[in-house]
Amino acid sequence: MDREQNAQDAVADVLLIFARLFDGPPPSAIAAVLVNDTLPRIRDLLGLEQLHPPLAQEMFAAEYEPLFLLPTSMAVTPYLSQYLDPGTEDDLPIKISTLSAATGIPWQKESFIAGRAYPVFPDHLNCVFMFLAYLVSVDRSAEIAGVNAGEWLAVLLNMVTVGMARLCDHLYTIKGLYPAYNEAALLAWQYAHALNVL
Amino acid sequence: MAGIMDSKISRRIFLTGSATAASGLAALWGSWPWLPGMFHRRGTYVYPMRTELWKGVEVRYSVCRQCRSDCGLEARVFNGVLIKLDGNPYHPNTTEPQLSYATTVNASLKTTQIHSLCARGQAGRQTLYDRFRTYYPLKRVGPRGSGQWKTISWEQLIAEVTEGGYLFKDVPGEASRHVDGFAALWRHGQGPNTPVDPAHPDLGPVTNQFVLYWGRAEPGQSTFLTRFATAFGSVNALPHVGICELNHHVATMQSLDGKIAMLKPDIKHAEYVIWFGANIYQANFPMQTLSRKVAEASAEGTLKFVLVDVRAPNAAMRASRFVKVQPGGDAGIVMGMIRHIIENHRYNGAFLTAPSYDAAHTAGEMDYTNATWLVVEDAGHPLHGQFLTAAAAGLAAGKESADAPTVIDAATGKAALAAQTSVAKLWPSGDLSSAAITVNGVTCRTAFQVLYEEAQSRSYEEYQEIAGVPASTIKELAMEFTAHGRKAVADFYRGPAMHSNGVYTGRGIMTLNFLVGNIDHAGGYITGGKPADFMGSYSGAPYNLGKWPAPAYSVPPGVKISREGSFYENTSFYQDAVGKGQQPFPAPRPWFPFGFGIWHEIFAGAWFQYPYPVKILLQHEANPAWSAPPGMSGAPDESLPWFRLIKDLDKVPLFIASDILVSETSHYADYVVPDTGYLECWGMLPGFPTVPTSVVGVRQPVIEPLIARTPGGEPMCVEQFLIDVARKLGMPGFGKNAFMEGGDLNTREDFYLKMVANIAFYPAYLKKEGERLVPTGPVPDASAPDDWKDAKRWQQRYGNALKQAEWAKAAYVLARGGRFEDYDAGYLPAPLPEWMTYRYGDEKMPCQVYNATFAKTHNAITGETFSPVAKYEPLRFMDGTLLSTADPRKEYPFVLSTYKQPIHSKSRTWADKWLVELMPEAYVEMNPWDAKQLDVQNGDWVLVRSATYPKGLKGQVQIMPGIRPGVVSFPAAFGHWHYDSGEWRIDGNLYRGDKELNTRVRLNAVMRLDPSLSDHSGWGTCIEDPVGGGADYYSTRVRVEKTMPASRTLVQT
Repeated sequence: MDREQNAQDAVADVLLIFARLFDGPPPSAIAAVLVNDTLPRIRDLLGLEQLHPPLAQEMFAAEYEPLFLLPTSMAVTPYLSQYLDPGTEDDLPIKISTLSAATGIPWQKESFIAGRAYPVFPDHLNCVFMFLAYLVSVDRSAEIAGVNAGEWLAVLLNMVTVGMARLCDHLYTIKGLYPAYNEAALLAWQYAHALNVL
Repeated sequence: MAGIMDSKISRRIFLTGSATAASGLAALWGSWPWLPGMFHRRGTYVYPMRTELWKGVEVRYSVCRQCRSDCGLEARVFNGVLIKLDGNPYHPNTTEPQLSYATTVNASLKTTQIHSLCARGQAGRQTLYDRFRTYYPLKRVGPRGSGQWKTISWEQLIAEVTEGGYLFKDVPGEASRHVDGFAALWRHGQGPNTPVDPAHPDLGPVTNQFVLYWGRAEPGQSTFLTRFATAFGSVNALPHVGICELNHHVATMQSLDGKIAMLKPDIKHAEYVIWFGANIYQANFPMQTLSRKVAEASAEGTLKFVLVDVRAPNAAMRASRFVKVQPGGDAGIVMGMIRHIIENHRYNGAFLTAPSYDAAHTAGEMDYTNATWLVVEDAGHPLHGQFLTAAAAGLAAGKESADAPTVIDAATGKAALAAQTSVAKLWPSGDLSSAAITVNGVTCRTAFQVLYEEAQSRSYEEYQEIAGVPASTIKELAMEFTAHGRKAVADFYRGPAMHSNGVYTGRGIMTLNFLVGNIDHAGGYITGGKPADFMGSYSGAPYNLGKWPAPAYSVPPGVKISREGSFYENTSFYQDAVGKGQQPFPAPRPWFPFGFGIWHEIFAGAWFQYPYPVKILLQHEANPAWSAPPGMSGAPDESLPWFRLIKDLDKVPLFIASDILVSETSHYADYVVPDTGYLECWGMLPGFPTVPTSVVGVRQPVIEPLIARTPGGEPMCVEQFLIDVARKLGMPGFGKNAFMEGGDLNTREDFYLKMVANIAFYPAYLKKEGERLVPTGPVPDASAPDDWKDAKRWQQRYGNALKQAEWAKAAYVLARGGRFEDYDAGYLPAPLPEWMTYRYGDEKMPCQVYNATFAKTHNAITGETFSPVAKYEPLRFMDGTLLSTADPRKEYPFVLSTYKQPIHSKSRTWADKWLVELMPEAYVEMNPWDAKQLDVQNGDWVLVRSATYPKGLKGQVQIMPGIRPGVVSFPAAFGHWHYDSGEWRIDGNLYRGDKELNTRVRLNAVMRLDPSLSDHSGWGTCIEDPVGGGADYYSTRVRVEKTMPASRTLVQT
């Protein structure tokens, strides 16, 4: 594997970190690395100031269930399509669900994460970031269901940046309640935006 | 916001920065479960870990509700999350043989015995975790059906529906509309004493204007709903049977003295079974249990079976014959078989000639029939069509025996009381003679003669024409059926029953069984076990839940909005007309004394405001806009009758829906009461006759309900809604001192846990001891920690619901998910099983070859009396008009049919995406010959039209040789438009479901309406069986035309 491929895999790994965060809270050891190392490094990369105070490692576990799973008025939906304007998908030449079917990506409908159910739709944030991870790691000219990977990536990135911006707007209004996932969503949004440089 | 959004970053920096960021976690790669999963990628598949091996997984036994089979389930819960569903190894639906009930819970968790749940059962957790579940009360803020909602508090919900008022004054057009709430009907407790129509007090009180119906509420929960309606003073607590299999139940019950609604073959010992329209391997009760038993028995060669259907179900691969009958023509086969069996003396004469229980018992039988009872033939006699009584025969020795049936004693040749005769004559005027005899000056014949006369009223060639099956096949079936002694069964379900002639056909199928004498016999037609009495009506029960402290009311309970369960002849409408010398027929609407749960007549009653107007309509877990009744709904077309009704604010002033999400139907509600799903609620589920032992599964929440909580901290659900309305009104039977034994009913657990205690203390289950069956008595006290694991969940929160001693036994039941007799208790001990342990014969009532009540009950539209014996009746409208006349074959060459698939059941399974993935859309299915005639190939589009839906619906063709030529069919689960799909707003926020779920094809809207049950505006009702009231799903004649592809809007054409 050449250096270029290794570098693109690193980008995919970061996207997978976000995917995994939206799939459920990390165990404490992982959370410790995330809050102390990974997320601050991504902040650096994106040119954002470091958080003060920093996140505590138990925050992810405390926040995930009330934020994404339980039916509270302070919950948000983890499905990207709910943040997009009506008709957005219709107007696009390609769809997330088509991508899901064409690639057979393990978008974890069968896997279990403590504290949540499971993503059952390909527009779950977990899946969406998994797809991004997949697309950045394959040849852009590779054809997937009649469309090349580069085009899939561009369309998906557009949807992710629009949708994540709206999710972040909402989280921003309640950020005192969910600081860890506010941070995760913010970094995921901006990291996705930065993918345009690839 | 600063950061990358405001600046550029180089590609190189981005890549290296990403590598740096990810490097920290890479160090932990492989050390934590989170990581391998995370970095497992690039096109490979993550299989689920075997949850059985996980530490900390809790196993809870409950009962499934993905269909009505009520299989026991084993739920695996980890950290409060349901992760997997399997079958309960104690439950005989899912396990064969099931674990002995004495098996410890700990041992049950390690059993290697297969305990399976079907595909839809396993997918049930997707219903639980549906992304669009409703968690808070909703109130509409736009016109009905506009999809405009706001969330309201529980207190507001209860206050508004109870007190009423100008509830929708902010909705355009409703500013001045006052809505009556429950209090307006309850009238401080005087509602049940106030007649709804003072001129007709027999209609009942004003509180009958509260109508509660449900799609899915099984025993236990339906008991609770009925308790509320009854305590409120309404007889209108109505299930959905009329759109399901009602005519099958009516035919069975009216052949077994109203005692039993369903029998099933004893598959284990049967040698030969004919299934009429029973969809084996795909549906029926319990689907997987019946399928398993049939597969095993046929594979071992002990069972040979025949399928009679319009299309081949999956079981056709193992059937010895598949008979493609004409829709609605099953009775051609049945009556032809009856004729052939009688004329060739293939019937069980020894069984049929025993005229009473005692005579049968003396002869070694467990059952008897009324085949030999004499029936009065004289048209002018007061007993015309009824059994010749001892008094009429001049045989009455006293008042007690005056009404006793009479027979011709075979020994003396003279008339005698049936109860005093050992063997009676079937043919009093000679073998195979239908000639009448005279007894005490009264002309009469035996019931068997009446049956034979009916059977021979048509030739075999005519039966061939009716059935669309060669006469030779009919005769061969008769010979095969009678070649296995009592180990042959004719069984049926929706196929032959849900036609306008369904009850008569069903009576014929029941009669076939009587002819061979197979009732209660091993290998015959059996009742199944006797479930533990959860209502507590047995002596010594902890709680008698059928009663509660309540005052007596002065107004009779009255008649139901659907006119079911009441005889028109007994109403003041009829009697007033007769009293005035007027013709009582036709009544404004039909009456159905033998039917129950007739949805289409609920809606028709509301539309015609007959027998009284509806004020409050409460729907629980139902979806009539999508599901049924045929022709009245089924497509997003508001010109269809159901939509016209529900949008009429005068005919339905208040419409409340309890639902787990905003479905096609609750979309039209005024209020949506958020409900708990089946994995979060309670129920007490008896077994089905397919299982010969006694079964009652206990459904209990397997997780903490996901739904919001009331101010009292209880999960919002239909039961809590009814409790809180009742408490606000001060109704008896709820709140303080709600039970005869004392105690309060403030939560659903106060009620259901008492049912569990009644089950636990039930003494009459049996077990085998040596060569005897002896009562088990109540269950043991729970002792092992595993026995207490479920009970503790409830005891901690609802400790006062039971006494301590009751908790110990209830815990034993809860831990096993119900109470089950052991596998070997189903047959009376014998070297080779001969008789079932549980028998209809123990009722000491006859198997009814002749139903005398039918003979004096009228079709309230035509005034004709019903046939007391089985017969073939052509397909008709309620006024008697032949369908073949209304819709000639030349104009409508096809008959429309539908069926159920094993991967879906009711509308709810469409929320389960695993199941949707298996078959995302459906087709218009037709025979290759028909496809050739129409010049269509697989995937071509056709338009299906009927006389009452001429604009028709489109679908793509699938060619299937298993379908009878001239029939087009479609599976039932498709064609949603607002089930996890559609758009709606709550509190101004737009919610959009997945419109890709709105897949074709659903043709219910094409099904025909009965023009004799329409009004001047064209509002119509589906075709109904005039005897049972069941909806006709399978008789609509349609035209099928090749057409262009439909628009992208998937459901609408």
